[in-house]
Amino acid sequence: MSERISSLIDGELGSDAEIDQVLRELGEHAPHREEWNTYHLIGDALRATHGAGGLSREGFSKRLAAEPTVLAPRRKPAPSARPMRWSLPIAASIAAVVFVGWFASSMFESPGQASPLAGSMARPSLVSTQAGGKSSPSQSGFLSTQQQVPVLSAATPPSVAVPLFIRPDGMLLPPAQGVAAAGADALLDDYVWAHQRYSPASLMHDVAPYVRLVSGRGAGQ
Amino acid sequence: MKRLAVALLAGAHCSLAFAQTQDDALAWLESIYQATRRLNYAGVFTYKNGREVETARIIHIVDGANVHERIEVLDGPLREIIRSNDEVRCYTPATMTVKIEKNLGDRPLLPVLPGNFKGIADNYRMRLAGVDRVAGNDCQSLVLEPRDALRYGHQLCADVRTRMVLKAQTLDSAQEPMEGFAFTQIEFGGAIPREWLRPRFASLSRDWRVEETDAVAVVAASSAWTLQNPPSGFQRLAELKRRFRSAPDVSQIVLSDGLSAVSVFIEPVQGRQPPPSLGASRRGALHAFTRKIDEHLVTAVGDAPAECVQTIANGVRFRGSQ
Repeated sequence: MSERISSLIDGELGSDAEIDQVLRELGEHAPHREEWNTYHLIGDALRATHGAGGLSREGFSKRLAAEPTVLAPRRKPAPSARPMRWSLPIAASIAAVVFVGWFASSMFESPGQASPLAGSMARPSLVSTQAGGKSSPSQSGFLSTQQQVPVLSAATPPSVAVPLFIRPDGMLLPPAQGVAAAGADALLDDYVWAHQRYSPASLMHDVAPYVRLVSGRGAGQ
Repeated sequence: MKRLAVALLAGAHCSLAFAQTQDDALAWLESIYQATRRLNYAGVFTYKNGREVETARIIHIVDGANVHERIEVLDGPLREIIRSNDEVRCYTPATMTVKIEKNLGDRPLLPVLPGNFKGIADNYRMRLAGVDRVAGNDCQSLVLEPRDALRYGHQLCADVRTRMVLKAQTLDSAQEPMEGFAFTQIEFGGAIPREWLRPRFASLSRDWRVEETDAVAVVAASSAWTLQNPPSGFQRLAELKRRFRSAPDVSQIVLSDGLSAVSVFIEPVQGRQPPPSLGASRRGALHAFTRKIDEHLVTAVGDAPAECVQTIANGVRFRGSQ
């Protein structure tokens, strides 16, 4: 009988009449059914099919009874290729912005960046507690939380009035230290730094090229 | 017969007038170039790039053969640039870095000698365009229109008295300003106190990070690279061997047509990690184009439209002599 059960599982039983007979005997005799389970289990294990957890027929019946009845099957959402598809264009556009835009200012605007002073600068305190005590306490009231400037010696030219602050822009900051710039950015930064003294502006006037060294969130055009 | 003679005379007069305008503009250009080298001034200017505007204060003192300058950016994160002859230092307290560049050899501006201004007229239509007022001073306006699509146009306003440019703009192909600066306050003269040049960060603690780059002039004959078919008017202005923190061996060749400048940078590929991307890129008015030749990265960067920069990059050839 074991051989016939095995043959049935393998689909090697000869005639329909034989199949019928084996099936009838399986239905009537529990030991044969155990053997049937066992053979399937062995087959699953050999094929490494999921679910070959050694579950007996009785155990399976109990579990089946415990499953809630699903009256209307819910359509499963499409496999999660979607998140990937969304992230790629965003990543590309971010990369483009980083590549084309000015990156150094981001150091000042997101406290999470790894700059040497990132920790201390993000702390919103009016009293300066910088390492080495370089900041002058009287200045901290004017400065934003992002900027605690270690002013060591102030040489303020008198009589040239200071206009109101406007948003920064600019071409370039010397390559950011402590911030991992994208490869393309680092290359271009070096080059723009080296090129700016040859800019047409510098042929006629010495002013603008070096202002290009400064950075900010530029329009990126 | 008479009418024909009058017409011919009128035509001749017009072209003569045009030539005179061109010459007038050229003469102004030359005097601007000369003046900038001699002047002491202190002032405040705004620099504009696209929609972004930034303000800075500048003090510029000429002392015999020495030039000293200090630029302090007044908006946003504090940045300061100190120039002393050929050394430039850029202080950024927010990151505690100072970037120093020393150039050995002459200032690169000198190759545009007065005699070469004529070459500018080959590539730009030049004319005077009326008198404006900038920072309380009367200024003569100069317009330079490119004759082809490979360069930008410029508009300059130079103080009639000192010939210093107080306002300048770079214009794109639609005559729209892309980048420019304008003084809002300026004072000329020798009575500028020396202490105004002193940087705020006169002494740096050990915590400051110093990054030095330098450049050495290279004799053109020993250059390993040639540039074929540059756009009309572009000539070799300078060649340097440079050292950056992330790349110790970079060649820089500067081309200029008198108004625009494009630098070609050549370095070995393996120097850069991660490897930079090839092709075109842009930062405001600057365009760049990167390509690979053998194991070298060739990048052209300049104040010129993308097409110009790409043409120059594509003309780079390895000569082999070293």
